[in-house]
Amino acid sequence: MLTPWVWCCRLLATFMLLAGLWMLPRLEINTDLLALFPQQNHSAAEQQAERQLSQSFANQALLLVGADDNRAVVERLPQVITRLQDCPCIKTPQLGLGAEGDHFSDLYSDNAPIFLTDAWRQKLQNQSLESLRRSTLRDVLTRPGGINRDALANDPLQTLAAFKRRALAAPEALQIDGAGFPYINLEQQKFYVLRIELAASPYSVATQTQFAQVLAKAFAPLRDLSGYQRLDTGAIFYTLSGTAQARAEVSTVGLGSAVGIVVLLLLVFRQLSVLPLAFAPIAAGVVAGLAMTQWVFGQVHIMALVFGAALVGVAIDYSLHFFSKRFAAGKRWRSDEGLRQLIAPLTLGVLSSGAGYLSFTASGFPGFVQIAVLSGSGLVVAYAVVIGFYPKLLSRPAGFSLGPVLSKWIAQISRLQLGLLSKLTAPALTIVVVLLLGVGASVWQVNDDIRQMQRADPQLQAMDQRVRGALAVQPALPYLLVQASSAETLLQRLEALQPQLDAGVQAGYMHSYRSLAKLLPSGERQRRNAEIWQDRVIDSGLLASMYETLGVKSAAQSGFIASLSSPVFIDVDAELSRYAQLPSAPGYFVNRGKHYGVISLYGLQDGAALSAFAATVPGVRWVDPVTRTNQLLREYRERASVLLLGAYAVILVLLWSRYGVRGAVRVVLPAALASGIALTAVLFLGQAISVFHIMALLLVLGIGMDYALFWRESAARSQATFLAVGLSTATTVLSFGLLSLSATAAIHNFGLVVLVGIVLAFALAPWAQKIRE
Amino acid sequence: MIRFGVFLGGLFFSLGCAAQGVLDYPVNSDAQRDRLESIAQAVRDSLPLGGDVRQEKHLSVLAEPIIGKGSFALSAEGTIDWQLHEPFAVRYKVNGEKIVRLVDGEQEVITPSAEPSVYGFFRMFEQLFALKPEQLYSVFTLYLAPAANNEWHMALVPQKAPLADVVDRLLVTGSGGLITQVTIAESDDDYTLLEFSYPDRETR
Repeated sequence: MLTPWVWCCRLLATFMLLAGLWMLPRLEINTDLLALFPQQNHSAAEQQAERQLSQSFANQALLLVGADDNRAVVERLPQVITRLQDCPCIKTPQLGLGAEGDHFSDLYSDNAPIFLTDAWRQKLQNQSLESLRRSTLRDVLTRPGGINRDALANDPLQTLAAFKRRALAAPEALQIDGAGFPYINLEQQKFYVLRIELAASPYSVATQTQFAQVLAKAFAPLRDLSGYQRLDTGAIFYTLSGTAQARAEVSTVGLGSAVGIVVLLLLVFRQLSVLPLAFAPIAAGVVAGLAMTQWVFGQVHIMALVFGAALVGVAIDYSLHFFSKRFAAGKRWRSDEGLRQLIAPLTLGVLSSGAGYLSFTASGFPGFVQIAVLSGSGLVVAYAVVIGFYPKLLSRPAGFSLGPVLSKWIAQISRLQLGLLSKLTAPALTIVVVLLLGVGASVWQVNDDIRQMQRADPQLQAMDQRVRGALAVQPALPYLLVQASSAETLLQRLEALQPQLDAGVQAGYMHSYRSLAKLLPSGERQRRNAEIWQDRVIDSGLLASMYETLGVKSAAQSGFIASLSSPVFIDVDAELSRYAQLPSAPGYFVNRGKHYGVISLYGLQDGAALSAFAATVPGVRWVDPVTRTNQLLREYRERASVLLLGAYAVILVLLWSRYGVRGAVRVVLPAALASGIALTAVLFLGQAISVFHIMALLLVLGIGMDYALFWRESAARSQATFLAVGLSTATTVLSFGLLSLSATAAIHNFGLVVLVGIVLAFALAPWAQKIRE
Repeated sequence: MIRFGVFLGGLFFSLGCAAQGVLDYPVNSDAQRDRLESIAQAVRDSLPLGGDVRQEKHLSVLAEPIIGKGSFALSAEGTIDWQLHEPFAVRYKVNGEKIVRLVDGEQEVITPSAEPSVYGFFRMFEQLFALKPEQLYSVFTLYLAPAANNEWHMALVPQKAPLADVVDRLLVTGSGGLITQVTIAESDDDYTLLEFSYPDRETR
């Protein structure tokens, strides 16, 4: 009967291991904590806008390089760019900043009449012809270096130049040196600006590896310069740092657990041969879990990765059960018989653990769903390795028994634990609970701010601050979303918003903004501009008079005037359709037949004022992803709290029928008290309660109930069973407890609560039985 | 990338024999380099400097060149005071990255990104008058005609974009430590001629 099941397990384990090994090099690690949260709470349009913004900026990096000898930097920069071009991970390395308006450059050429800024439109309409003539001539005639033929023919009033300056505006701080190399001055040092566009996602580990290698090689020629400095900004540097941090944490958690488990196994079983056997299911489980997560979600979140390392402590349980059973059977051990006895509890164990992780999916958090998939699939594969291969590999009896020293320790610890608990009378316990509630309430605080749950690399943040202080190259997270029924209406709405946005810039609410209206006039505005141009520049004789004064030959005059009298109007629908296809051109998209424009805000200072303004304009929405996520975190914290209390209530009711009221309370009390103390402890440490603390309490409830039920149901006085539970607790604490060392606040908080909660739940578990009896 | 499109207007330079000849003498020998360095040192030593400037814009579509007249002053620290008196009065004050334009008593601060052509012109002007060959080598291919009395003729050909897209070559003529003429030739037949004179100094 068992053979087919064993073969199924062997096949499953082998297949998942091979698939995992194939998938591992393709892992993409996502370090963005925002990706943990559900997207359903905001509209499809907001999702698309944020996806576009993220894609556009995530693939870009900005590097600023400087040294004491600027000339040497300039000389060596071309070499740096050549080396960067060699990497398939880089699409474009270029000096300076790119401009999304480059897409429209061809439309601008030779089409001055339809591209007028607001300022020029007013000037043409309101100034006298003589004043216009004089100011234009003065500009042309006194310009250092003078005007060239193209400008004279195609942009005689420099109106198109003004439009392009506004459309393609580079940050004010950006300077150009004599060789045409762009730079900025930071704290009196010159930094040359290098922009890199990645060819693939910065979350791809392969891209990160290639990028790190090419950076080390490309900048080698500059590194030996005196005073050399490089400032890095861009998502790729954060993902590199995040992946390095994840690797370090995975090493800490994984290695910490592994070393602890090795010590425990050697202490108890005193055989080196059990070590490879113990770690084979763990390794297979971790590899399969990561592969499954990558396959299902297209990437692995850093949090799931770190939790994956914690699998070590849980997956070892199946091995421990097998080893313990063999250990207990002594020379009477027969692997087929042992498997027959273990198959039910181990299968129930994997099902119950799977169910426990499935409860995470009830939270609705994609991050927790990832953790559930990673841990669930990892545990199933670890189970499959144990069931599939252990009976064959552990067919011979162990040939030794529990040592006298270990026996003595177990007896002492057990006696101490039971002795302490027996002294805690009901009144004393009541006082402890009341005190706990009182202390907890006095320091109670909650925090749902996403920004405080993720700590970015401080060095990168410092660089970012320095660069952002001078160059506003990345927009703020909040943005304005404008909706319309057609591309033309959308452009008109965006144009109508421009005066207020400009006033916002003047008032200091933000440094600048980016809107599609700056790049392309609506059809109606194109026609209006052309009418003004024709009336005030051509028909009025202003242009002819200017050409005459400048001495333009009559044949050339006629050609220029004819060309400037027949503008080519742009079909905004067709043009925006083409524009929307550009991967790096956020700001416009069509969703379910509606047209949307995104106004990105740079150097945002006063979001409240802009939010209030947006509320008054039809079709305009103020979107703040951080506030929205914080609101979501609050809702989920409250929902998880209700879920936790509900779980306790359901368990109490279920236990009532078997143990009566007092018995049920006795079984639930260890986990509840452990949770209360763990929560009070973290509050006392100054932490504010978030959804991650509450999710950790769900795990404490699940595992704590197991311990309590064990004490209630089993013959706990047996040394072997006490040892099995003790080992299981130790491995769980080792793995989840080590999460508290994480630099990511959310993971740290989760790990700390589980660490304190599980230790206490184990210590208090004997309460579940009547100790004095 | 900020373009130099408008920057350094068009310039035809019917190079004439002397100028044509400059391009036959690339600075690629130690003797040439030493001579260039001595000229550069003399130019640098002449700072601070002030004088008159006459700008001629020659475009093929114009019957006559556009002519402007004014004065300039360049300090040893690189600050520039550029004033045009004719045909209109306009003044530019350049201090490092900051450019201020004064027209009819009104002051306007110009950023490099807003007017790259103006910014580029003054950067070039400053670099020419603070003549540092080691800096120029990285941007231009340099030519220096054989000595003729106290006069010298130099050509600077941009090596790469974006400068090479809009400027074909710069021809610089000087006498002793004073630059007397700069011709900026564009890739078509247009050019700008800048003539400098120094009433307060004796041109050696």
